[in-house]
Amino acid sequence: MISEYCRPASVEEALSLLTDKSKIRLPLGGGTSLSRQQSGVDGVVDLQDTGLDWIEKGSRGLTVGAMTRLERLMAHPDVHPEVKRAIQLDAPENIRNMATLPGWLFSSGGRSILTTVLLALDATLTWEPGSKQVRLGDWLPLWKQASPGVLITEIAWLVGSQLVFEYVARAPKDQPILVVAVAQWGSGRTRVVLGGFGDMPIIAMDGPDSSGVDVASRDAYFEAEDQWATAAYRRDIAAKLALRCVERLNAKKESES
Amino acid sequence: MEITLNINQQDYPLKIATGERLLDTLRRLGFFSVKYGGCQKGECGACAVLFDGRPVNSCTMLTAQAEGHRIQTVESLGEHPEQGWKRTEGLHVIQQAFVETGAIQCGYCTPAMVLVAKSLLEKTPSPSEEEVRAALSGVLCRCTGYIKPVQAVLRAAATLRGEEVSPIDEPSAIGGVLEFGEGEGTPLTTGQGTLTETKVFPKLKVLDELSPMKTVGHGEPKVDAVKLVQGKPAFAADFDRRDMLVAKVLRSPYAHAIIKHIDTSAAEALPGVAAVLTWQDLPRVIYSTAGQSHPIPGPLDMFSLDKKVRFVGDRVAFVAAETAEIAEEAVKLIQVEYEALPTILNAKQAMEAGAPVIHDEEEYVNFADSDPNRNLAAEIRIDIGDVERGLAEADHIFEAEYVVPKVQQAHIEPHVVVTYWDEDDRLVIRTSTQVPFHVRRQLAPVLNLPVKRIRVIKPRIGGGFGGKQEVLVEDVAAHLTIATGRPVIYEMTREEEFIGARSRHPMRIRMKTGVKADGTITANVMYALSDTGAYGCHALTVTGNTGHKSMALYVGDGPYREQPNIRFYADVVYTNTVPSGAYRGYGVPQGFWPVERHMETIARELGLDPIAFRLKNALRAGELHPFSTAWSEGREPKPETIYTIGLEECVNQGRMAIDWDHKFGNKAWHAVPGKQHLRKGIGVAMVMQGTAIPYLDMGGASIKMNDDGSFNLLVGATDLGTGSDTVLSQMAAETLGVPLEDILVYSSDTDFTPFDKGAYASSTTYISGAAVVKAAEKVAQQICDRAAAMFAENGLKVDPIEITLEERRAVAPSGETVTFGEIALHALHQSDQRQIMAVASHMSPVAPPPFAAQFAEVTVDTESGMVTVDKLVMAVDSGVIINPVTASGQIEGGMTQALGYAVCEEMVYDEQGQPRERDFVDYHIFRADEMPELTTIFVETFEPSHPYGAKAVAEIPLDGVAPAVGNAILDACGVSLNAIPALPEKIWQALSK
Repeated sequence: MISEYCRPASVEEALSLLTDKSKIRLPLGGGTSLSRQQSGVDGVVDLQDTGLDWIEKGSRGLTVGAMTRLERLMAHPDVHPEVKRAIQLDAPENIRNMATLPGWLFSSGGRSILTTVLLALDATLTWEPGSKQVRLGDWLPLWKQASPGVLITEIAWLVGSQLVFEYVARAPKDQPILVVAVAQWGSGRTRVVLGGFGDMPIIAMDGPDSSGVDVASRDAYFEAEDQWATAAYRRDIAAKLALRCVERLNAKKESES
Repeated sequence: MEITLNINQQDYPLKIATGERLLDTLRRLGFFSVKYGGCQKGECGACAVLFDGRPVNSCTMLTAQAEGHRIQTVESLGEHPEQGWKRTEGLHVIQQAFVETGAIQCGYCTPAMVLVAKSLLEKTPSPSEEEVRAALSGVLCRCTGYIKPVQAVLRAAATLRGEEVSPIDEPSAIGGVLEFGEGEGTPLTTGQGTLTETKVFPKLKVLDELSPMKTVGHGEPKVDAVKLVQGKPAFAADFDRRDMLVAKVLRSPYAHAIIKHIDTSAAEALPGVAAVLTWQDLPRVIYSTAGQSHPIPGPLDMFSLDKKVRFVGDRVAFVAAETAEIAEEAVKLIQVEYEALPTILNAKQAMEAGAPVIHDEEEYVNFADSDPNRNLAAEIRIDIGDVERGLAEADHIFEAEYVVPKVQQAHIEPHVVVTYWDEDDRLVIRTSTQVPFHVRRQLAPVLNLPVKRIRVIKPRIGGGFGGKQEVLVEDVAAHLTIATGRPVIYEMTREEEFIGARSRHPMRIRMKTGVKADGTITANVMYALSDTGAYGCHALTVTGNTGHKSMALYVGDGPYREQPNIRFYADVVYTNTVPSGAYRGYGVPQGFWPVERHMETIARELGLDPIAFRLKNALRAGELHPFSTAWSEGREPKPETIYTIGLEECVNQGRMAIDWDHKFGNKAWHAVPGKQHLRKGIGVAMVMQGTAIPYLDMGGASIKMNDDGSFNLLVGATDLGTGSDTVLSQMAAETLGVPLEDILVYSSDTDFTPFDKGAYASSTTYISGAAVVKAAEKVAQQICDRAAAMFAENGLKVDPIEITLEERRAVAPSGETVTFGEIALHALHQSDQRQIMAVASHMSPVAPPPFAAQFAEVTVDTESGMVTVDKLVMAVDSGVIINPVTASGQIEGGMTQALGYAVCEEMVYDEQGQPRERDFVDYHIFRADEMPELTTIFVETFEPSHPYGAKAVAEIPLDGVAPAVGNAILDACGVSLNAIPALPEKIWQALSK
């Protein structure tokens, strides 16, 4: 049960509470996950007054403070429309008004379209203490075992990339059985991420161009079987949706040129 | 910890537990508009409040987080416009729009929807429909299908902008293709962009013209709408009582096991724990949880607590404690030693020789052909005509097997009950039930109390859909109240709803049909293997209805029409899964999936028009219900002639509305330009239901005249959000010649209201309604007699039979009148004093079926198999529609539940019997922003066995959507799907062959 609630006024104060080894305290973002009273937790450190609710567009990318709610991202002009679509599919407004981006990454699992999309965009997390920059793709597989710090303060991703995703679900707003997100940069670099299975989305391909997206996707979900779908289905559809994503990217490029 | 919360612009200094959720704090403070949906992740949204003006879910927020912010609940919005001498501003515009448009059914999610709408309209005064749907998408509604809430928000927006809005009670024109939002684009395959007509009143085609009526047939606002839209404490849990304990239940982690030992000492020692009960503490009374009339038409096979558990989620122990947190902690401290037993997880396995026996208790009480040694809860063998001869006379025989899944009722208000001893030492049970009188009767022996020492109060119900036709939670709280002497509340969590409540019977159904080359059906055979789960509640009757309704529709043509050849056999077996039970449709949706898919296959293989083939063989007016001589639910069968069948007109109206003649067989229409992987398809299904159970269902009503000429209407009927209190009041008002506001309806309380069997079998408007009309006619007669006496006192001799009642007056043929107020004062105070009142009851010898034609339009992704349902049109013959607005709400909400059955809802178990679905994340019910277009058309016939010509409306929308969608999938891509839900992988597999 949660027996202590702290609301620090700065990141420094929050870090001091979170690094205090005498108590097990967890950072509290929106609360959508932590309010489910966990055992083994002494207290929560509510970050709402730490000044982390901001979005900044820099020369290369977008940086989002850790207390930024998903709904705020929906309203921001520099957030990619596909990221917004992913947010809308993952969470209705009631949840978006509370849930923070890091909180969502922690709690949403492998069927989150938003996490899939951010992984495709090669998002980077800034961890404190130490301002360590960790790529989402490096953190996701390990987050339950080891943490690079006690607090995520920022999440950043490059803008200017093309991004599309396709998904299959039982109903339009159901959790996906399979989601394929493809990001492509001006250099041709193409990154394919699959979601809808397991604890986290996975990178199927990160290559210099889009050739082989179907094969890579098929291989990546070769054994992706659970109660929701067979691996045979997922690998076949992953390949098809990856190609469909590339077609959409190409069509977009054509229309823009 | 101590904090100050600002709620509705007032500061509340509070002491709270550090881990307390905002939802619990608000409810503790009496803000009962904030509802508990039992979920842990904010999936349902019923607990939404405005947080600095934005909607958030209070169940996923710590109270401490809210300090320094503005919390707003519906209690801060409008109020009743008349508060005695005090004038108020009345309801908020949004609340008023929800009342007017019929957007409130059970009303449980309404306060959340109103707040979401308020937030939206404050930032977006002219929202598009898509924006409205997106805003509402965080609040799940299982009743409405979202059309009317969307209409309410759009209407409120228009009003707030100062625009005129169209009147509600105005019938829509009918007769052509309904063009939805023409020029605004086709609905997108993502489900976005659906377009709702702004006209609230549904489309109505009247076949039997009636004299105009004042109240019946009008879209009157629901009589409970004003309180529900304000979030008044109307539901079972909205109730405070000093010293109330909170109950929790320890549930089995095993699918089948013996409890070898339970140690409750650690739990009992936990401070704040008041009682821990196990099977050793309770009397061993066997009973059935199925809320049905006496005698229960099924086996008695359940104990409140037993030494054996039969499914994951079965009850092991009850705990009562000072708080929910302490009770949860105590549950964890109970030590149980189980001896795991072999399990049965599917119906076929249950029938095998040597299968484990699930019910080996010596107290088991058989009903009819149940046989626990064979895991058989019920057996049905019905033969009508000569099936073998019919099959021999056929030119073609079609055989196939179909599968339907276990699904959940998913009412947003969980099962909830409060029990306490009153000052007379009578046990009061305030419970969210569809069957208050059955609860009292069935629970009495279980509690070792006589019926007369139990009072059951049914407050408002936050949806039931059959799930609350079950005596499921009342015993938990009652045993704990008996043990502790204190009030106890027991509310199920959402997880408990999935693992420990009831569900719809999954079935495997084999069809065999003989057909002549010209399309005449010569014989029709159905065998159903039905899975009742761990207990046999509703086992016989649900599965009986599977055949009784779906196999009755197609009798054949020519001589076969005179003498149909129909066989329906079924075995209903026990398995180690959560029990099946009543779910809206009551076995009939399971039947129409195979029947209507089978009819489609036959028509297509014989090259026949699917509509003409069906109508050729369908029942016609004046014919006998073919099963009426062979089987009835709970009573001896007696022949029943069906007098009203509007099916053909339903087909005509539905095919026009969906533009069937343009789309069916049109290759160009099936293609989606620019998207070769998408294919469109159109499908149809025809269905029938029942209206009550003949010779069994009975409802009572009493009506009493008050001093001012208003009336108290007391009914035992149970409004579970359907609007039955409203339509019963409308019939009383029409009969008595008063406006609806003069009828003060109260339902239902076993101490005060007459008996009614409860809300099930689509019977309330028909059975309870007829009782109301009978009582009203008796009261009307007394009013006429009194008026005649009053006329005579003034020298005017009038025969009471010549007096008419209208506009709160008794009118003599000469035109002279006395008002109801004058009549009431005269009767109560002035001369030959007596109370004008009457009691009546009604039971019907017939169960006239409603009929419907269901159409569906889909888009199939032929690469992934994903199906998007774009449009559903349902044309329904439910007799005279007493309230078209509430009735269309029933159809829209029913179609939406059926849509889930068609494409996404199912309950799946692993090899150990562990359920996959435990919340609304994995068990997906449709959200406001992913709905297809829904259209309801009523084809009115006058059913002569009801005083106002009504038949049932509530269950029939559950029957046809799945097969219509299945037939549309076949039309789109050639995949003949035999099992639902229509999962993408199933379509993909079929397309890959």
